[in-house]
Amino acid sequence: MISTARTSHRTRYSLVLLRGGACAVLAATTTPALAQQRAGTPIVNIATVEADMDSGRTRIASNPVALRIDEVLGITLQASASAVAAEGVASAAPFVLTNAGNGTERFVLAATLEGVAGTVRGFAVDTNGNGVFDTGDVLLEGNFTPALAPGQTVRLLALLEPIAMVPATAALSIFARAATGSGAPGTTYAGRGDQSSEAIVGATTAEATIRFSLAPGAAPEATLVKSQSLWSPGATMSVMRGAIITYSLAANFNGGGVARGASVVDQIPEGTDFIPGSLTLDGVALSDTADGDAGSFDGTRIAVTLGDVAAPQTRTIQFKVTIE
Amino acid sequence: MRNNPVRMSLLLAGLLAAVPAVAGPVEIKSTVLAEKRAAAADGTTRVSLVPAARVTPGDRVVFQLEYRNTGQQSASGLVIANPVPAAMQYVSPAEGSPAPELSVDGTTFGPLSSLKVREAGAVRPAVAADVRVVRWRLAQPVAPGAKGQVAFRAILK
Repeated sequence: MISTARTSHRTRYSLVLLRGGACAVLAATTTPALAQQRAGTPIVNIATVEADMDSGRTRIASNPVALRIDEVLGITLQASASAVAAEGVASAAPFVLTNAGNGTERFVLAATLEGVAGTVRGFAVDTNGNGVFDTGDVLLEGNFTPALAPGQTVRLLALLEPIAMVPATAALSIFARAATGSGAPGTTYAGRGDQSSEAIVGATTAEATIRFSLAPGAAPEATLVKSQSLWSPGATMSVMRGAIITYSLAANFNGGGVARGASVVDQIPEGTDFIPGSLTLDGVALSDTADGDAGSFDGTRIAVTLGDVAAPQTRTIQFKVTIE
Repeated sequence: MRNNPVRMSLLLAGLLAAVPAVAGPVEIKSTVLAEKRAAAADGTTRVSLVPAARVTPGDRVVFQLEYRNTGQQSASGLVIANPVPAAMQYVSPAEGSPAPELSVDGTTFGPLSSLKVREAGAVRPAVAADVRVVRWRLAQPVAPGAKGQVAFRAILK
């Protein structure tokens, strides 16, 4: 049973056209055509008997005998993916929850990270069913699903904040149960079903748990692009003594996931002198000594420690040399 | 229950239209019992009938109809009819009861195998879920003071 105002649950379909073909995508909630008899519905049985009596053909109705349909609490929970790439990026674990009972019911959700520290931001209705938390997806308040009609299905997302490092054993466990109650089949919640019927836990126990393994994510692809610009003291832009070359090293991290302990080392060319204090990272000056900051110059090469870099990202290193 | 109560009461009205209803010396009493299944020690399942007021989808019940002649004269040509409630699906006669005649339209009665359903312009054999009315026609008159019982099993859809 639910205490909130009735909400509309129409089955909606959206059609998404993809390049090279059309693909029908089910909306976040669907209701099957066939449902069980609704909780709270009364059933009345009346029989009749006809007989030939002295007074003629007579018809008599029986007493009405009434049954009321109680609410069965039921749930099915299905993961829409087996693993979620959670390292370094905000991620979403997609799953489908179905009200397998015969009454209108909300469900309570809980998410637990196993084998890793992190933050579960909450749950959202995956309105367009694409498995990604994006515009139009609605965060659930209090981790309650919307009220679901019997047989109705809702696509949901468990939202995770970025996790710095995901061990191989890390998992996300999602638990859901009927808001009215759950437990051993046959457990009865008196008067808490639809229209004050009894709410009885069905064979599904009205609760379910699914697990996602958490993955470090796609390995980032790192590329380093080196370019140079020349400043010459002479009238012509020629490589001559005293000319200054500015080298730019663009470290591109593409794909997903996190590049761990990334660093860039570059030997300065023979015949050039490093210009002290010219080393920068993303436009910020670095000291030349191997100290607290990321940069250093050891006499023959520059080194910049980038640490853990979440892809996609580009870090740009610059330094200057003069031509001897 | 959607519009099923309307259909049920119309069926009932159709059945009853021919004969005026009066209180008479023939009585009929309707009772509903739930089939309760319990695993017995020997591994079998025992089914017992218990009074039912509440059901959940999939529950099996037995509707018992007890008739009695409370008058002074013999009553003949007894016909006991029971529209199957829309939420229920007819299953079979109950244990110990003669089999009822079945109808999918309230007009034509017979065994299930003889019934047809017109659907979307086609005709198909009827199945148990199509049964709308069950009835028993008693061949023998019921003597004054005599009583009997018929019953059928149904399942909550």
